[in-house]
This record gives sequence, C-alpha cells and structure tokens, in this order.
Amino acid sequence: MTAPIHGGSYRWRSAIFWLALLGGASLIPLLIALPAAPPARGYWLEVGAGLGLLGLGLMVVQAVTSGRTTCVAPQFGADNLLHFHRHLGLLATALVLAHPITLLLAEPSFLRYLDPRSDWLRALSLWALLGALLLLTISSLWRQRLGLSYEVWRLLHGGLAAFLLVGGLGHALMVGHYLHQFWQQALIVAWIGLGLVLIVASRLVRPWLNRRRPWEVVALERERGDCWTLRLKPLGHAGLKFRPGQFAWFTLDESPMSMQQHPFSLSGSAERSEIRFTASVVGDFTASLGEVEPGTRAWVEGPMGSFKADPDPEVGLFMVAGGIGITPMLSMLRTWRDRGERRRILLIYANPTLADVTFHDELEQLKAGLDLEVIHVLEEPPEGWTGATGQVDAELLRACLERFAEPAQYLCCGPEPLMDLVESTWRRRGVDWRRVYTERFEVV
Amino acid sequence: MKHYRLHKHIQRAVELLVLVLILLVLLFAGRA
Repeated sequence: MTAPIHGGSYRWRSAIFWLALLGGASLIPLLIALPAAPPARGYWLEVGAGLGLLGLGLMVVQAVTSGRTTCVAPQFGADNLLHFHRHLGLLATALVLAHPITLLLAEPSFLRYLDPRSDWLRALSLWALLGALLLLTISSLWRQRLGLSYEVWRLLHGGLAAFLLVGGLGHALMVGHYLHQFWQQALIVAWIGLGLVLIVASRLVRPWLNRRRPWEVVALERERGDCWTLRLKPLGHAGLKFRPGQFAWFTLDESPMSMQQHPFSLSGSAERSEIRFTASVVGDFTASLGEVEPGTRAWVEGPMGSFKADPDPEVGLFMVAGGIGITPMLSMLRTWRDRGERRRILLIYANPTLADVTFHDELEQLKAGLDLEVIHVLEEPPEGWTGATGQVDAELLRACLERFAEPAQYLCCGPEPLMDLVESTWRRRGVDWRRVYTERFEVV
Repeated sequence: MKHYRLHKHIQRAVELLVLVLILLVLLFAGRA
C-alpha cells in the first residue's frame, strides 16, 4: 500500500488529527467501562482502576504506531513514528506501573492479588505481566547494550507485546469490576483483538502474504566507496510502487517469514519495475552482499518512510548527502530524469576521498537531463582538486542557502554529526522546520 | 538518539496527550 500524496511538508492539522485519534483510541476501555460503571469506591481506588483501563487502551495504540502498520507508517516517516512509539511507550509503562501502585496505596488488602498463597495462578500471571512489561521496556531502551540482535529483539518485542495485551485483557475481564456485562466484555475483546491482529499481521500475516510476491536478484554491481548495488526484478507480479526517497525491508535467499530483514533505501527510479538498493559494507549482512549470486530469491516489504520530495516541480530541492546517504536522493534524481521533470536541485555531497564518491559518474550524467548542481566536499582531496574540501560546514551551507531561492524543500541524509550540523544550521538561518526532511534509522 | 526539532515536537505532543489522558482518568475517578 502506498501513502497518499499529501503536500511537501509536515502539517499541524494532520498532527492534531492523529493525536486526537490516538488519544481517543486509548480511552476506549474507559469509555466501555463508563456506561455500566458500578458505584464509585474511594477516589484513589478509582484512579488506580482508571489507570489500568487507560494502560490497556495505550497498549493497543502502541500496536498501531509500531512503525510497520502500512496505513500509518508512511504518513509520518518511520523514524518519527518510532520516536512517538518509543516516547509514548515509556509513559504508558509508567502509567501501567502506576495502576497497581495506586491501588495498593489506596487499599493495601489488594496485595492478595500478588500473593501466590491467596491464588497462585492469579499471582503468577500478574507477576509475569509486570515482568514482561519491564523486560519489554528495558530490552527496547538498551537493546544494543544487552547484546540483542535486531531480529531477536523484534521477536521478543512482538511476543511480549502480544502477551501483555492478552494478559491485560484477561486481568481486566477476571477482575470484572467494570467490565461485567456481556456487551462490555465483547467490546473489550474486540478492541484488544485489533491490537493483537496488528502485531500478528506485521510479523506473520504480511510476510506470509508476501510469499506470493517474490523477487529475483538480477545483477550485483560493485560501486565506488565500498558499496554494492543489488538489482531485483519482480517474479510474476507488478513490483513495488514507491515514491523516491522511501525505503523497504529486504530479505535475501530465505523464506519470506525470516526475521532476517534489513532496511535499505530504494535507490533506483520509481518509474521502473526493477528495483535496486545500494549498501555500503558496514555489518555482517552488507559484508556478505558481494557473495550474492544472480538468481537468488528475495523478498521485499514496503515501501516505508516519508523522506519524500514535494510533488510540486516548482519547489526547488536543497539536498545534503553524506556517503551512502546519497541513495534516497539518487532515487529521486533517477526518477525525475525518467519522467523528464526539470526542477532546481542543489546537492552537497560529502565523502572522505574522490574514490569514495559513490555514483560520481552517474551524477555527472544526470546533470544533462536535470537542472542539477552538485557540490562535492572531500575530506582528503586529490592533488589539483579545486572543489570544496574538509567537512560540510555552516559557512558552505550559508553560502548555498543565500543563492538558493524559495520555494524550496530541504533534505538531508548521512552520518549523525553531518545531519545534526546541517539541521541546526538550516534552523539558525530561518528555514521552516516543516520543510526539512531527514531520515534517521537508529531508533532501537 | 539525538532530539532534533521535529522529535522535540513529537515528544511534547506525546507528553501533552498523556497529560490530557491522566486528567480524564482523574475526572473518571471523580464522577461520584
């Protein structure tokens, strides 16, 4: 599913709409409880119970904002949505923990719920739920420090989330103080079921459906800057509809159900059925790319991300790329060349040496079909180099901004320090942050 | 994780949302 085109900048209206929608969604268990609520007990007892119901609602919202829900994820950009998910997750954890704490402070006799001598199954379940909540939060905050691979973490995260949803639902139904009527129980089961469906869909159903959409590696190309480009063609299906700048999850040579998925920017033209991605050799997976044989089966899940250019060709594009961060921008340039779309583009492209400039020659060729200016910045320039040297700095950005006329959109992709510098410089120079697009993957 | 402008806005939005939700829980508890 591709996202509808919706202008070229972030919109307050859309943000408020989604916030209200998600806020309303988290209140659903409370709303189900309210019409048939029994007479109120003490104030803090009711606060404690209310926090539990709110926590349950927030867990479903967390499933919606997990970053893989295709109708939600492409609207915002995966990193923005994951940032939302992460921050809301932390606060939701605090609220869920506040549920037993408030209840115990208000009514110490509730301690029996956690006492195995009173009811061992109930106590064990509640302790397991508390443990699962803490494990889910801790494993997400410190995945790398705990030495968890992304695949193991993702499996754990989905499993724990599903357990918390089912366990939370069971707890609410068995306590039954608020949810005692049949219609209430049916509604809450349906609501929690929706969260479960989303979790199961993203990890099992979507990959399973994806098995009917295989791809084949048709070529492997060595690029400058220690990079590999993989070209894939669809086998028996129409391929992938994406907007240049988006990324997808790739699985190579295994079943589509494999947890070994890797996110890469689509670097080819959106006008062609063949897709490509280019990766620099940084980890185990990318190091093994050079050994991939043509004919290898592949699976693609996506497209994702909102790193997209304004559809209006009158809007100029000020791009800054560092190293392999060029790939989403290259996809845009290739697409516009194929469409014969001429737009003002200024690209600052930073690399350590001339030999590292991936797609150097192609960028030169692209200038012929596009209104494109490329400013290469080299840390270690070759002898006789007359272009920019060193790092991209505020001075260079300022000089380029001065001669780049509005309306414009600002895109940056590259290493963290470059993105920090570019964004803060643009901000200081008065660029509207809603016109700035960046993509950062390191969220978990 | 760096908090640049947009992420700061997202963080504030989440905090505002949770604050409103807590207020509604307090209202819910005070309905009697």
